[in-house]
Amino acid sequence: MDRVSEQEYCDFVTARRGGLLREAYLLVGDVHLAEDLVQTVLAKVYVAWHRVRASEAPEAYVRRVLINTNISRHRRRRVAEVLTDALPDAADVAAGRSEAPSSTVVEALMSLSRRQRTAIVLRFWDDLPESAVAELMGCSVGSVRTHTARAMARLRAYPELRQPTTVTTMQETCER
Amino acid sequence: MAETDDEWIRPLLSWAADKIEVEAVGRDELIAAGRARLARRRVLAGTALTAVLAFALGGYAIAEGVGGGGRPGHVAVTVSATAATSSAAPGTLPAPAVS
Repeated sequence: MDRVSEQEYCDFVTARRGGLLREAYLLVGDVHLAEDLVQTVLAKVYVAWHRVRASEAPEAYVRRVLINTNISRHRRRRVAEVLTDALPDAADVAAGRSEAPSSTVVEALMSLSRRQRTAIVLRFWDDLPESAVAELMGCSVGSVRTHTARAMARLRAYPELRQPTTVTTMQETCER
Repeated sequence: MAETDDEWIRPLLSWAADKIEVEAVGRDELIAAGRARLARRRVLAGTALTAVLAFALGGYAIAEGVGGGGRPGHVAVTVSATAATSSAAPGTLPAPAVS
Protein backbone atom coordinates (compact mmCIF):
# COMPACT_ATOMS: atom_id res chain seq x y z
CA MET A 1 0.00 0.00 0.00
CA ASP A 2 1.43 3.36 -0.95
CA ARG A 3 1.65 6.35 1.33
CA VAL A 4 -1.46 8.11 -0.01
CA SER A 5 -3.64 5.01 0.24
CA GLU A 6 -2.39 4.36 3.75
CA GLN A 7 -3.30 7.87 4.77
CA GLU A 8 -6.76 7.47 3.24
CA TYR A 9 -7.20 4.20 5.08
CA CYS A 10 -6.20 5.83 8.36
CA ASP A 11 -8.59 8.73 7.79
CA PHE A 12 -11.41 6.31 7.03
CA VAL A 13 -10.71 4.20 10.09
CA THR A 14 -10.38 7.22 12.35
CA ALA A 15 -13.76 8.46 11.17
CA ARG A 16 -15.59 5.13 11.17
CA ARG A 17 -13.99 3.05 13.93
CA GLY A 18 -16.35 4.29 16.62
CA GLY A 19 -19.45 3.46 14.60
CA LEU A 20 -18.09 0.05 13.69
CA LEU A 21 -17.24 -0.70 17.30
CA ARG A 22 -20.73 0.24 18.48
CA GLU A 23 -22.37 -1.80 15.75
CA ALA A 24 -20.12 -4.76 16.57
CA TYR A 25 -21.04 -4.39 20.25
CA LEU A 26 -24.74 -4.62 19.44
CA LEU A 27 -24.05 -7.69 17.31
CA VAL A 28 -21.89 -9.61 19.79
CA GLY A 29 -22.89 -8.12 23.16
CA ASP A 30 -19.38 -7.91 24.56
CA VAL A 31 -16.94 -5.02 24.37
CA HIS A 32 -13.83 -7.16 24.00
CA LEU A 33 -15.37 -9.41 21.39
CA ALA A 34 -16.55 -6.31 19.56
CA GLU A 35 -13.02 -4.84 19.57
CA ASP A 36 -11.64 -8.14 18.31
CA LEU A 37 -14.25 -8.27 15.56
CA VAL A 38 -13.55 -4.70 14.48
CA GLN A 39 -9.80 -5.31 14.42
CA THR A 40 -10.33 -8.33 12.18
CA VAL A 41 -12.58 -6.29 9.92
CA LEU A 42 -10.05 -3.46 9.71
CA ALA A 43 -7.27 -5.91 8.84
CA LYS A 44 -9.41 -7.31 6.01
CA VAL A 45 -10.25 -3.82 4.85
CA TYR A 46 -6.57 -2.89 4.92
CA VAL A 47 -5.74 -5.76 2.56
CA ALA A 48 -8.63 -4.93 0.23
CA TRP A 49 -8.36 -1.16 0.54
CA HIS A 50 -8.00 -0.64 -3.22
CA ARG A 51 -11.37 -2.39 -3.71
CA VAL A 52 -12.98 -0.52 -0.81
CA ARG A 53 -11.75 2.79 -2.20
CA ALA A 54 -12.97 1.95 -5.67
CA SER A 55 -16.43 0.95 -4.47
CA GLU A 56 -19.26 3.47 -4.69
CA ALA A 57 -20.12 3.12 -1.01
CA PRO A 58 -17.07 2.26 1.12
CA GLU A 59 -19.12 2.29 4.31
CA ALA A 60 -21.54 -0.30 2.92
CA TYR A 61 -18.58 -2.42 1.82
CA VAL A 62 -17.05 -2.33 5.30
CA ARG A 63 -20.42 -3.02 6.91
CA ARG A 64 -20.77 -6.10 4.72
CA VAL A 65 -17.30 -7.26 5.83
CA LEU A 66 -18.39 -6.76 9.45
CA ILE A 67 -21.58 -8.79 9.03
CA ASN A 68 -19.83 -11.59 7.13
CA THR A 69 -16.94 -11.72 9.57
CA ASN A 70 -19.38 -11.97 12.45
CA ILE A 71 -21.17 -14.85 10.73
CA SER A 72 -17.82 -16.60 10.06
CA ARG A 73 -16.86 -16.11 13.70
CA HIS A 74 -20.01 -17.93 14.78
CA ARG A 75 -19.35 -20.75 12.31
CA ARG A 76 -15.79 -21.26 13.54
CA ARG A 77 -16.23 -20.83 17.26
CA ARG A 78 -19.72 -21.60 18.41
CA VAL A 79 -18.66 -21.85 22.05
CA ALA A 80 -16.77 -18.55 22.09
CA GLU A 81 -19.85 -16.55 23.08
CA VAL A 82 -20.96 -17.20 26.62
CA LEU A 83 -24.32 -15.83 27.70
CA THR A 84 -24.74 -14.98 31.35
CA ASP A 85 -27.72 -13.86 33.38
CA ALA A 86 -26.01 -10.69 34.54
CA LEU A 87 -23.81 -8.90 32.08
CA PRO A 88 -20.94 -7.00 33.67
CA ASP A 89 -21.34 -3.29 33.31
CA ALA A 90 -18.68 -1.74 35.49
CA ALA A 91 -19.81 1.86 35.33
CA ASP A 92 -23.40 1.12 36.30
CA VAL A 93 -22.49 -1.35 39.03
CA ALA A 94 -20.23 1.28 40.52
CA ALA A 95 -23.09 3.74 40.44
CA GLY A 96 -25.32 1.25 42.26
CA ARG A 97 -27.53 0.49 39.27
CA SER A 98 -26.86 -3.12 38.37
CA GLU A 99 -30.23 -3.26 36.59
CA ALA A 100 -29.09 -0.64 34.15
CA PRO A 101 -31.20 -0.39 31.01
CA SER A 102 -28.15 -0.76 28.77
CA SER A 103 -27.49 -4.20 30.25
CA THR A 104 -31.11 -5.10 29.76
CA VAL A 105 -31.02 -3.97 26.15
CA VAL A 106 -27.89 -6.00 25.43
CA GLU A 107 -29.24 -8.98 27.32
CA ALA A 108 -32.45 -8.81 25.31
CA LEU A 109 -30.48 -8.57 22.08
CA MET A 110 -28.36 -11.57 23.01
CA SER A 111 -31.51 -13.62 23.58
CA LEU A 112 -32.27 -13.29 19.87
CA SER A 113 -30.88 -15.59 17.22
CA ARG A 114 -27.87 -14.27 15.32
CA ARG A 115 -29.88 -13.50 12.21
CA GLN A 116 -32.69 -11.85 14.18
CA ARG A 117 -30.14 -9.69 15.99
CA THR A 118 -28.41 -8.76 12.76
CA ALA A 119 -31.74 -7.78 11.19
CA ILE A 120 -32.67 -5.64 14.21
CA VAL A 121 -29.32 -3.86 14.33
CA LEU A 122 -29.25 -3.16 10.60
CA ARG A 123 -32.89 -2.04 10.51
CA PHE A 124 -33.09 0.07 13.64
CA TRP A 125 -29.56 1.12 14.42
CA ASP A 126 -28.14 1.54 10.93
CA ASP A 127 -31.58 2.61 9.73
CA LEU A 128 -31.26 0.62 6.52
CA PRO A 129 -34.26 -0.24 4.36
CA GLU A 130 -35.40 -3.86 4.23
CA SER A 131 -33.95 -4.35 0.74
CA ALA A 132 -30.48 -3.26 1.89
CA VAL A 133 -30.71 -5.49 4.97
CA ALA A 134 -31.73 -8.43 2.77
CA GLU A 135 -28.77 -7.82 0.48
CA LEU A 136 -26.34 -7.59 3.39
CA MET A 137 -27.71 -10.72 5.04
CA GLY A 138 -27.91 -12.63 1.77
CA CYS A 139 -31.60 -13.44 2.09
CA SER A 140 -34.95 -12.27 0.77
CA VAL A 141 -36.86 -9.20 1.93
CA GLY A 142 -39.54 -11.57 3.22
CA SER A 143 -36.98 -13.31 5.43
CA VAL A 144 -35.86 -9.96 6.80
CA ARG A 145 -39.47 -9.12 7.67
CA THR A 146 -39.89 -12.48 9.39
CA HIS A 147 -36.65 -12.11 11.36
CA THR A 148 -37.56 -8.56 12.36
CA ALA A 149 -41.11 -9.45 13.40
CA ARG A 150 -40.00 -12.43 15.49
CA ALA A 151 -37.21 -10.44 17.07
CA MET A 152 -39.53 -7.57 17.96
CA ALA A 153 -42.04 -10.00 19.45
CA ARG A 154 -39.27 -11.42 21.60
CA LEU A 155 -38.01 -7.99 22.64
CA ARG A 156 -41.52 -6.96 23.63
CA ALA A 157 -41.46 -9.84 26.11
CA TYR A 158 -38.90 -7.84 28.11
CA PRO A 159 -41.11 -5.53 30.16
CA GLU A 160 -38.03 -3.70 31.50
CA LEU A 161 -37.37 -2.35 28.03
CA ARG A 162 -40.73 -0.64 27.81
CA GLN A 163 -41.10 0.52 31.38
CA PRO A 164 -41.24 4.28 31.89
CA THR A 165 -38.31 4.05 34.37
CA THR A 166 -36.10 2.72 31.64
CA VAL A 167 -36.93 5.61 29.37
CA THR A 168 -36.57 8.11 32.21
CA THR A 169 -33.15 6.78 33.21
CA MET A 170 -32.14 6.81 29.57
CA GLN A 171 -33.21 10.42 29.14
CA GLU A 172 -31.46 11.47 32.34
CA THR A 173 -28.24 9.89 31.17
CA CYS A 174 -28.52 11.52 27.79
CA GLU A 175 -29.08 14.93 29.35
CA ARG A 176 -26.01 14.59 31.56
CA MET B 1 -39.21 1.67 6.63
CA ALA B 2 -39.93 0.20 10.05
CA GLU B 3 -43.42 -0.07 11.42
CA THR B 4 -44.35 2.73 13.79
CA ASP B 5 -44.98 0.22 16.61
CA ASP B 6 -41.38 -0.90 16.44
CA GLU B 7 -39.82 2.53 16.71
CA TRP B 8 -39.45 2.29 20.49
CA ILE B 9 -36.40 0.03 20.11
CA ARG B 10 -34.45 2.59 18.10
CA PRO B 11 -33.47 4.98 20.96
CA LEU B 12 -32.72 2.03 23.23
CA LEU B 13 -30.26 0.61 20.71
CA SER B 14 -28.61 3.98 20.22
CA TRP B 15 -28.37 4.49 23.93
CA ALA B 16 -26.87 1.03 24.58
CA ALA B 17 -24.36 1.49 21.76
CA ASP B 18 -23.38 4.95 22.94
CA LYS B 19 -22.28 3.47 26.25
CA ILE B 20 -19.20 2.19 24.44
CA GLU B 21 -16.33 4.56 24.87
CA VAL B 22 -14.15 4.73 21.82
CA GLU B 23 -10.56 5.63 22.53
CA ALA B 24 -8.70 7.64 19.95
CA VAL B 25 -6.11 5.53 18.19
CA GLY B 26 -3.02 7.03 16.64
CA ARG B 27 -2.00 6.36 13.06
CA ASP B 28 1.10 4.34 13.96
CA GLU B 29 -0.79 2.35 16.56
CA LEU B 30 -3.49 1.61 14.01
CA ILE B 31 -1.05 0.39 11.37
CA ALA B 32 0.91 -1.67 13.90
CA ALA B 33 -2.25 -3.37 15.19
CA GLY B 34 -3.38 -4.15 11.65
CA ARG B 35 -0.02 -5.58 10.65
CA ALA B 36 0.21 -7.68 13.81
CA ARG B 37 -3.21 -9.14 13.11
CA LEU B 38 -2.33 -9.83 9.49
CA ALA B 39 0.85 -11.59 10.59
CA ARG B 40 -1.16 -13.73 13.02
CA ARG B 41 -3.61 -14.64 10.27
CA ARG B 42 -0.72 -15.66 8.01
CA VAL B 43 0.73 -17.87 10.75
CA LEU B 44 -2.68 -19.50 11.26
CA ALA B 45 -3.08 -19.98 7.52
CA GLY B 46 0.42 -21.49 7.33
CA THR B 47 -0.37 -23.87 10.19
CA ALA B 48 -3.60 -24.94 8.51
CA LEU B 49 -1.80 -25.47 5.19
CA THR B 50 0.88 -27.56 6.92
CA ALA B 51 -1.81 -29.69 8.58
CA VAL B 52 -3.56 -30.24 5.24
CA LEU B 53 -0.29 -31.16 3.52
CA ALA B 54 0.64 -33.55 6.33
CA PHE B 55 -2.80 -35.16 6.13
CA ALA B 56 -2.54 -35.51 2.35
CA LEU B 57 0.98 -36.89 2.57
CA GLY B 58 -0.16 -39.35 5.24
CA GLY B 59 -3.03 -40.48 3.02
CA TYR B 60 -0.63 -40.92 0.11
CA ALA B 61 1.74 -42.90 2.29
CA ILE B 62 -1.04 -45.24 3.40
CA ALA B 63 -2.41 -45.66 -0.11
CA GLU B 64 0.97 -46.36 -1.67
CA GLY B 65 2.38 -48.30 1.22
CA VAL B 66 5.45 -46.11 1.47
CA GLY B 67 7.03 -45.28 4.77
CA GLY B 68 7.26 -47.38 7.90
CA GLY B 69 4.14 -49.22 9.09
CA GLY B 70 2.12 -48.64 5.95
CA ARG B 71 0.35 -51.99 5.89
CA PRO B 72 -3.19 -52.28 4.54
CA GLY B 73 -5.74 -51.76 7.31
CA HIS B 74 -3.28 -49.94 9.51
CA VAL B 75 -2.99 -46.21 9.84
CA ALA B 76 0.52 -44.85 9.81
CA VAL B 77 0.52 -42.26 12.54
CA THR B 78 3.85 -40.76 11.62
CA VAL B 79 5.16 -40.17 8.16
CA SER B 80 8.85 -40.18 7.53
CA ALA B 81 9.73 -37.43 5.12
CA THR B 82 13.00 -39.24 4.41
CA ALA B 83 11.18 -42.40 3.41
CA ALA B 84 8.65 -40.53 1.34
CA THR B 85 11.23 -38.59 -0.59
CA SER B 86 14.03 -41.16 -0.88
CA SER B 87 14.48 -43.44 -3.82
CA ALA B 88 13.88 -46.51 -1.64
CA ALA B 89 11.48 -49.07 -3.02
CA PRO B 90 7.91 -48.97 -1.66
CA GLY B 91 7.53 -50.82 1.59
CA THR B 92 11.20 -50.67 2.48
CA LEU B 93 13.07 -48.32 4.72
CA PRO B 94 16.09 -46.46 3.40
CA ALA B 95 19.41 -47.79 4.55
CA PRO B 96 21.13 -45.57 7.09
CA ALA B 97 23.95 -43.55 5.68
CA VAL B 98 27.33 -44.92 6.67
CA SER B 99 30.26 -42.61 6.68
